[in-house]
Amino acid sequence: MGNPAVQAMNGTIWVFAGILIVWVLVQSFLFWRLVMSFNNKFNLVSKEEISSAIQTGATAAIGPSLNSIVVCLTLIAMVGSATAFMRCGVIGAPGWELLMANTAAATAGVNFEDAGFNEGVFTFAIFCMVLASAPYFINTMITLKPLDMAAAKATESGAKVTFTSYMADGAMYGLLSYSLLNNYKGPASIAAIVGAAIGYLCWSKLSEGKKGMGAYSLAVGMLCGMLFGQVCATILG
Amino acid sequence: MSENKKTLTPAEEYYIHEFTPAVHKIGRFTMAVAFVLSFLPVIYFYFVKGYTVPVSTYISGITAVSAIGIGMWLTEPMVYWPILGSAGTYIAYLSGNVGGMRFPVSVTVQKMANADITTPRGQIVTVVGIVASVVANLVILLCVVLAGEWIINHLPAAVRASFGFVMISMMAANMLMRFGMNGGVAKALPKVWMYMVAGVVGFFLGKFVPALHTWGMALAVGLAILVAYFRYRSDKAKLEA
Repeated sequence: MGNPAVQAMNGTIWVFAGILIVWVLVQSFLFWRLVMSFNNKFNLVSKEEISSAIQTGATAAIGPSLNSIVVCLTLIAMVGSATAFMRCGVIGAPGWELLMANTAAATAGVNFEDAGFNEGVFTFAIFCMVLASAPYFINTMITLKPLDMAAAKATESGAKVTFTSYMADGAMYGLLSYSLLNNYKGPASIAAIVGAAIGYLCWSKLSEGKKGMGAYSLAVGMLCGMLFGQVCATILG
Repeated sequence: MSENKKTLTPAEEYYIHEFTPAVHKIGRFTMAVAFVLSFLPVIYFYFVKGYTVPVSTYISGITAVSAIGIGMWLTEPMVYWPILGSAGTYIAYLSGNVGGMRFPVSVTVQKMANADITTPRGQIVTVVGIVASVVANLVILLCVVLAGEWIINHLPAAVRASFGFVMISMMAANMLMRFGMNGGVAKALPKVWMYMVAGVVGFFLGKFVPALHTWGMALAVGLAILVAYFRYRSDKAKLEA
């Protein structure tokens, strides 16, 4: 964090970052309370399943969090720790924020190390990063309710089959296929896929009938994939 | 063709008439507040501290960012909604890392509970899993930001390089999980290969047609949903015959 403007504004930005983080936690808490009261009313999900979901959610977040460290550190060097935390931990994703920070600097005609990267340009860079994510908020406010209303209508109808379950399957496999190709980086990626599959299948087999172990199958698959991918990349040079 | 109203269970009734409206009440309110809060630092620095650049720079910035983002702004939340559900989508778009973290978490917890997002059970476990991932991510990121470069400098180079395979490994494991939910690879593949082909077609259209560059993911999911619609119509016709 060498830039004097970034350094001077970092402390103030921590305050705004803190406010946003609190708001993210407030939202999570409100949804948590809602699903818990729904579940307490009808006992749809057992306590064991709830704690398994918590374990799974927390462990599945570790890999991607670590994955984004390198990009996040690059962002810290450019825009300081507070802005990086605010944008990566709340609202954004490291790669997207890095792209937006670079776009802002390029639009202003300066580099992050330049003396021209002053307080005004830094404010503009934050604006561009915020602007890149804010329209998603508006989108969710407009589109999600009508989508749910359509789904509810389908459920309430007497149809023997409903489109919503077909749509969920279609969207899931379409998105997974797209994501696999989008993350493909050469032959070592194939080794990573094979490794993840072997790790996941072996762990699933081992954890059959054992409480709690299944929550780690994604993490194990991921670790095996990373190992296979990296070994293959090293061998291929 | 007339369809009789289905008799819903009390949980389904509550889910449709109480739970879902409450989700949107919380979601819309928190997103509206977050929209304002996210612009607060800019408002403060620009108007209170007077850290300005020419308005023309802001206009150029808005143009550049919009050109990059417009395709995703319009389509992304709807693409993830069939998997995350409404509550999950609201949380994911406020906390960030949707594709790389909230999406795989949802797939995993739904498999674990053997419950689709279209069911009340699926909604509950998905929200629980996503909320847990939000807290875990914030804790890890805070440690990283505070510990700074020390962490990265102390990791062996091979370990750092292996992070490049996190996403593809996770997606591969997620694919197997989803196969598991559909009865295993052998049973699932004949039913779902068309969706996968649609995803692949969408990817290549986005990659090789310059005008569709930012629409690749939306195309992948859109085409897969279109295929799902034709399958639904065909299955429905068979059942009603």
